[in-house]
Amino acid sequence: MSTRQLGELAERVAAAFLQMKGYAILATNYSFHRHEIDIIAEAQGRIVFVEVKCRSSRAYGSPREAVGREKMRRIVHAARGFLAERNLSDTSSRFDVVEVRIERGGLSLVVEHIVGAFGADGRGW
Amino acid sequence: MLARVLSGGVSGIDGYVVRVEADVSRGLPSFSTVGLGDSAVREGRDRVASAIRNSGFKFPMERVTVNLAPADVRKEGAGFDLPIALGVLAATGQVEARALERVAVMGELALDGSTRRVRGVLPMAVAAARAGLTGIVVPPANAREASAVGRLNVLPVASLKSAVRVLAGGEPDALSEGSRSRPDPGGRPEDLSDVRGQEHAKRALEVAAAGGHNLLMVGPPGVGKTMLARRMAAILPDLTEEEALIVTTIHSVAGLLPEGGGLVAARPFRAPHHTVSAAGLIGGGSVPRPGEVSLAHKGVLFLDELPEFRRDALEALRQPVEEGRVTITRSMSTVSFPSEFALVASMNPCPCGNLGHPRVPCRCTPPVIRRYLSKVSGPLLDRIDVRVSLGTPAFEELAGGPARDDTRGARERVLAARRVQEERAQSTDLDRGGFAPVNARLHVAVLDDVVRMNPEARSVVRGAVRKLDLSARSYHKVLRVARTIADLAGAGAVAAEHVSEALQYRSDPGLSRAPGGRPRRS
Repeated sequence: MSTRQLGELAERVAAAFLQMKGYAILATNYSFHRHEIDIIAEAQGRIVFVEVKCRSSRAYGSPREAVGREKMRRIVHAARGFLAERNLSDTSSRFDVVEVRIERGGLSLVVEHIVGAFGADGRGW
Repeated sequence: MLARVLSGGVSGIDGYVVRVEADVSRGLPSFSTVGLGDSAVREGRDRVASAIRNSGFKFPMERVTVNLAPADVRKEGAGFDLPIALGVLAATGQVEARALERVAVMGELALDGSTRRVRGVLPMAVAAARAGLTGIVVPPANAREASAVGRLNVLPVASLKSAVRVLAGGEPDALSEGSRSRPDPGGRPEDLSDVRGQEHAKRALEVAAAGGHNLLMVGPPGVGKTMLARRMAAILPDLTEEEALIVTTIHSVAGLLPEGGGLVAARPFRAPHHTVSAAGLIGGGSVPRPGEVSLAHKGVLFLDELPEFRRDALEALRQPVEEGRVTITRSMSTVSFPSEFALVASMNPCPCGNLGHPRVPCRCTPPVIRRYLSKVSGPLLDRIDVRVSLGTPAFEELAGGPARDDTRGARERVLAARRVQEERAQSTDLDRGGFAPVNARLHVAVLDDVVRMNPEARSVVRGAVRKLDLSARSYHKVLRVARTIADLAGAGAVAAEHVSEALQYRSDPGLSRAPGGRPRRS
């Protein structure tokens, strides 16, 4: 499986996971000015922007550590675009990270959902 | 939702009320502070967010904006942590906003939500009382300081959690234990009799203390110059309550109050090392903080080894010595600190210290001595009214009898002389510009009135002016010192003996003795 295929798989797993938790998926792979957001969902009147991270090995650190400052900035930029496009600027929103880890050599998937992973000012929340 | 919490800032040594506004609105989650805060204020966001979470409250996942008003004054320090945290909690309904209407709040927060002491609480408390607030919420270590204001209900809180509890009407936390006073150094306080011999210098010290005159002691190493200086504060009258308040304010702003300390009771004694910079001496920093001259306000500033101090530092002393106040201008602000201190300086007569010694020869060459003495500029020397030379005491003096209580006697004489000066100041209704009513600050306009000389004294002065080539300023200084000596003697009119003693302090001992050098004009 290529890295790209792996990423797509992780995004499908994450979306399914969020739906299980009662989130409505509004968009996947939304892009604005070439900045991309993996999943945009809605829960309890709040827009949730989700970055999905996948790792098949712990060797490179945990997936959440892979969301750096620049990545946050791009996501926030795209989020502003989305909210403006749909006239939702007055709605509460949030940035989450869902990490999908492939463990035991592919025998199990572990999904972890970090609610409110960071803020629009690009700082940890 | 919008919430408002009152806090305080300090400019110079004056406090002012800062309104901390917290707005929590919908939008992308973020936390920003506006209102000209320094980096400590901006970094406070992370402390506040952690403290709120770790205290069991919720940090809103919304757009949080905090404004510090007035927005055109630079705010510094971490003292806004607690008001910002309470503002965020009030804006999200976790604290009753009405409880915050009439109290000022200040304190730094640790990540676990506990509070830490901050600088400048006293002037901020004064500003809060002036603004009509009724209470003040502070870390326990600042509580005694805040209570000095009197009119405020002081509510010590050890953590964010207890701040919330106290605002809901709960019991405040206990005061932090006042710092234990320093361990008693052997039971007996320092006394003037610890210095053996040197009766002449002790007398000069007493004169300087009685009239608020500046003092210079010249003598070889080890004869007791430093010991005498250290004992000066003890023969000065106690601080009045008003003086204690201002001294405490200065030390509070400088962050020098002991943990949990209240009003400063003792006169300050400051002895900066001779490597001190001009800024360290008179105050400085981009947001100016008081320097040594202000920390010595109403107390003693002791400059040991005067010629070793940096030239620019000594030159910077001129304004504070003359005006009792120092003005510091920085790009962002101009502030003025009080600096009314007794200057006590000491120096050796020459680099090796033996010049003028009856037996030990001096090994310094005349140019070396001249260079040494020229480091102390004429204008600064001119502002020192009482100069005295200390010699090596004889064996009989060193081995002298049991320790006496010389300080008490000296102190009583100084107090009596000060009372005379106070009464005199009340009868002449001259504006003294807030200075203590001491002879050293007598205005030239009243000098002739106040310093009534008998004919004999007058002729001594006349002769001295001619012989010593006294400048106008020097002449006035001699009159002031003579007045003090007369006051110590309880005399109404200034007599010849008083004038002679004053002249003796003027025509200083060691300084004009530099071989080959022109005698200094005094």
